[in-house]
Amino acid sequence: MSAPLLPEGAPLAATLAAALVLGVGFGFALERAGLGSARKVVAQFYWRDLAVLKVLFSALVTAMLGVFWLSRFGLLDLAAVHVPETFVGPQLAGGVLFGAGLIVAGLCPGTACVSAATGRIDGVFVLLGIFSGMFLTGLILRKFERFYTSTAHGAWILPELFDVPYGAVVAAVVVLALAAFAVAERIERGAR
Amino acid sequence: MSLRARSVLAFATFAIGGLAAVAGSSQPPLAGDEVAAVDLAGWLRERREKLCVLDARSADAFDAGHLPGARRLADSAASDDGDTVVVYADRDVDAGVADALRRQSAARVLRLHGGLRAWNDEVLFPVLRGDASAGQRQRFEARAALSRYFGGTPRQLDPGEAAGRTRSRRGC
Repeated sequence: MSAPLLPEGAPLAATLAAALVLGVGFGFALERAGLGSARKVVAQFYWRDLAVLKVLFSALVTAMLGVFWLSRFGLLDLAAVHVPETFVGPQLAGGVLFGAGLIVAGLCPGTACVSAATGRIDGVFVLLGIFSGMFLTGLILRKFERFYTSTAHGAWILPELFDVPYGAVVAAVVVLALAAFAVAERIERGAR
Repeated sequence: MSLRARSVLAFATFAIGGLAAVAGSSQPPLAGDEVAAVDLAGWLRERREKLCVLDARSADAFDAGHLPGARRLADSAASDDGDTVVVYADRDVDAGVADALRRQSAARVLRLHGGLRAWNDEVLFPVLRGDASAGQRQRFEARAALSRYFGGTPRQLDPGEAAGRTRSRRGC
């Protein structure tokens, strides 16, 4: 989901400037967390360093609590927040492909940009691979159109899926995150 | 980060998340001088006595469509009748309009939360997802009955059909 930082109809220059500032901030945070290094990212899959899980889950929980309470206090219109549509089958398949690529390359699109920007050669090659893959997928997408648009559920959110209040889902995700952090710390201590 | 700092952070996160569960909805609670569209629809349906509904929009907008039984604010005096006066516009009515009405009348003056847009979305044209659960379908029936009473059209989406949520921009 993406929340509207600027009002609808804002000038293109303002939108691009906001994207630039946010992008630089995001990249800075990723680099400061050490996620520009493929070794650090891959270490997660060997249960040696779970920084990726901790950093990204922290970001998710922070954003989720921020969106919930900003909306609750009337400072953010949730109806203006874009929710991408859910396609269960294609997104499961895409997730498996993405995960495989993440393990092989050691970088995801965001961390590949950070890696390349900090002069790491592997980051440059992963970015080249990403753009080549996007180009090739664009060429053959029509052949997979039926699958690509299958199992559609529209804009689907967890409170609707589980038929529970928004706040209950927020609390459940917080508990899940705290449990994940505790388990991750224990695993990391065991690996040392 | 020290263990103590981490514990404090974890506790604060847990508390803020727990408060979200207590709050339940992500929508701000109604202000003391607001009424929800569905509640107003219930009052109108049960023909609540001494209820006065005032439209704060222009004459053209009023003529194009208004709430059942509503009168134009500009053509009415709030003290004409009614113990309860509900005033509305396209969106939320400015609090100043309600304050001015309160100065003219001893009636309880309320603003329709979300205005005519909320009336249309929540009362006249409620939408049910195609993949809704049995409980959601059951609750929707009451909304659908209310919608039909006021001449609206409740709609059940096909599985996968977009639920009308704003999708003004693409993003990940």
